[in-house]
Amino acid sequence: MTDYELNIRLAFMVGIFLTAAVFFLLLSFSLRQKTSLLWLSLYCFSHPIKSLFKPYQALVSSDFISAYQQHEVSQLIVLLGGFLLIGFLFWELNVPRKKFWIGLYGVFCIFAYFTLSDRTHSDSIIILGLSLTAFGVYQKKRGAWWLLIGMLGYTTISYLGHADLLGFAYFAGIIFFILCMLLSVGQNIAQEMQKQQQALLRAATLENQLLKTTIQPHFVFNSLAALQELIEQNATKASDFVEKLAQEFQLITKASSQKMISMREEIELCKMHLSIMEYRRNACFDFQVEGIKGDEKVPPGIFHTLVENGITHGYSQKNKGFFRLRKEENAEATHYTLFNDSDVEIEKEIVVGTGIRYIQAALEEYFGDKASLTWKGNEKGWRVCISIKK
Amino acid sequence: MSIDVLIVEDEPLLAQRIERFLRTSKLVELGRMSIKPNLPSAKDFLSKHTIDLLLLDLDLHGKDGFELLKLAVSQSFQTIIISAYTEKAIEAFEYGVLDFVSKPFNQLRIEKALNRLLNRSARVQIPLKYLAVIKNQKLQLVQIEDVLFLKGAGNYTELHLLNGQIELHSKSLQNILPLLPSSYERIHKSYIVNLNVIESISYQYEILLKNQTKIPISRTKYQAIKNRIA
Repeated sequence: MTDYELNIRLAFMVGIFLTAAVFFLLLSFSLRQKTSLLWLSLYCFSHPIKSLFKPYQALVSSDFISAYQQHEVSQLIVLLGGFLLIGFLFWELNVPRKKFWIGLYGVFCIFAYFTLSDRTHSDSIIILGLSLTAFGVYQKKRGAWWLLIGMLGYTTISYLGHADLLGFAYFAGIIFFILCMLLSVGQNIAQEMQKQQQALLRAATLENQLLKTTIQPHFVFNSLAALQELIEQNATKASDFVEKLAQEFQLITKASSQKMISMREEIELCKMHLSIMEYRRNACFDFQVEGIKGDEKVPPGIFHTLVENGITHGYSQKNKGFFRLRKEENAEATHYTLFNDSDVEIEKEIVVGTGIRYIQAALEEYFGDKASLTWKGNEKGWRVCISIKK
Repeated sequence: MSIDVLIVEDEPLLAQRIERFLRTSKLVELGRMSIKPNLPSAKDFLSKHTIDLLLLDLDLHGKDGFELLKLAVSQSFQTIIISAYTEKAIEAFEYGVLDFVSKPFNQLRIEKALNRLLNRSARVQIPLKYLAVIKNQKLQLVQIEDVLFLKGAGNYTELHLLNGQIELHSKSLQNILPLLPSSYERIHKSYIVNLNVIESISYQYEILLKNQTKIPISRTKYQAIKNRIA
């Protein structure tokens, strides 16, 4: 092989490594908390640098440094490459106490530089890498299979090279490994994006559901009809009513764009709804709060929905109503209980409407299976309980 | 003629509004007017009193609302729904309500509904699909296309069906007519027939139906019906 051919090949290899290095570097910045890709990028950078100092490749003039020095620098960079590879594996597999281990491994590398032969050192890198990836697969870490395939391919190709069965085996092995990493990263990104989209979709669905249950057409139309009558009966009262309606819509609009709101805001929403219903029903509704600090976070509109349900189904003959929202906490769970003294028929099954469905979906989204919703009626009224396990 | 009205509405402001519109309307002479805030009290009232018109606010979301709607339309009085569930209007008409007033509403709209009650020759625009009847104290739905003809029987109406059965509806022939699709025509003091099932009309003032049943036709209607089916 002529020098010219050799240099062309070398330039080609260097190009591949630099491209991969830049690619991983960019990804490590654009993806959140992807330190592992930074390690991988540096690892990719180390190869072209090392190639520059290989004595026979003559890219760095021998006038500049001696062949011996070139060899020494090249060895140092191999050492660094191994260190970067192991660092990548620690971070990618998220090994516990990885900072401590990489420090320890660094000390080992320095020791190896002075005492171990090149071959022994590179074997130690391969053994450590294989064990780490096998551990990752065993622990079912995401992408661990790609790492293992990459490491196995790298090992096989390098040993074929050592046995003189494959030309350019050193580069081919590393390129195979990097290719596997590209696939793994690609797969991860695709999965992340899918997850993110699903989360977005769920959030949008919840927001939509909340708006649907809080600003239901029948609520709006009934309110408008009541307003029509108020205008003709008592213009001042009608004006107050419009203001209350606007305030409730403002609160709902604000709350619906948030994932969680404070109990303070939620209570305000409940009270606002009750004051609107006071106008419409010509009634008096009392809302009491017990044990609530105000800064507890809950998905928006869940108690508002319960209050709304309570009014719709139980106060047609009463012009006085009583609601009590109580929070109780023990070691296992937080319980929110909403009681109201409605005259709903007890034996009747509660209809699972849009409202209840929204509450269940919102609780599941934010608390998973830790939250539960139960209700019970007796001659005194209705009691709805939301429990959130700790 | 004075009409007795029951308003079922749980919002006092709206009940007052409906009441006021009825009282100030010059179209009807009001008899007894009652307001009930919910369905149990309305049912209780209806078990003791007869009425001519029910103005019903109904939560038509879900099954319960429509069960009550069916029950209402199976009775002798006419039912007008006043509801915020506008998207359910067509379905309500299919079960035989006289009118569906969407909330919010004004006096003009209530007058229009009253006109429907008074103008007995006018038909509901959205065609009826079912007639609800009470049989053995149970609510049943009769598909309208199964009804060949209707025969007045005092305050009730006999529904003569395709399969030869006869069901009894609580409404009078006069009250049922405005609810029926336009293919149903009054041909006699005591008969309404589905024009689509007429085989022939004889000179003896008799109509032969496709199932070979014969029903009488009045002299005054003879020519008009003959023209319509020709």
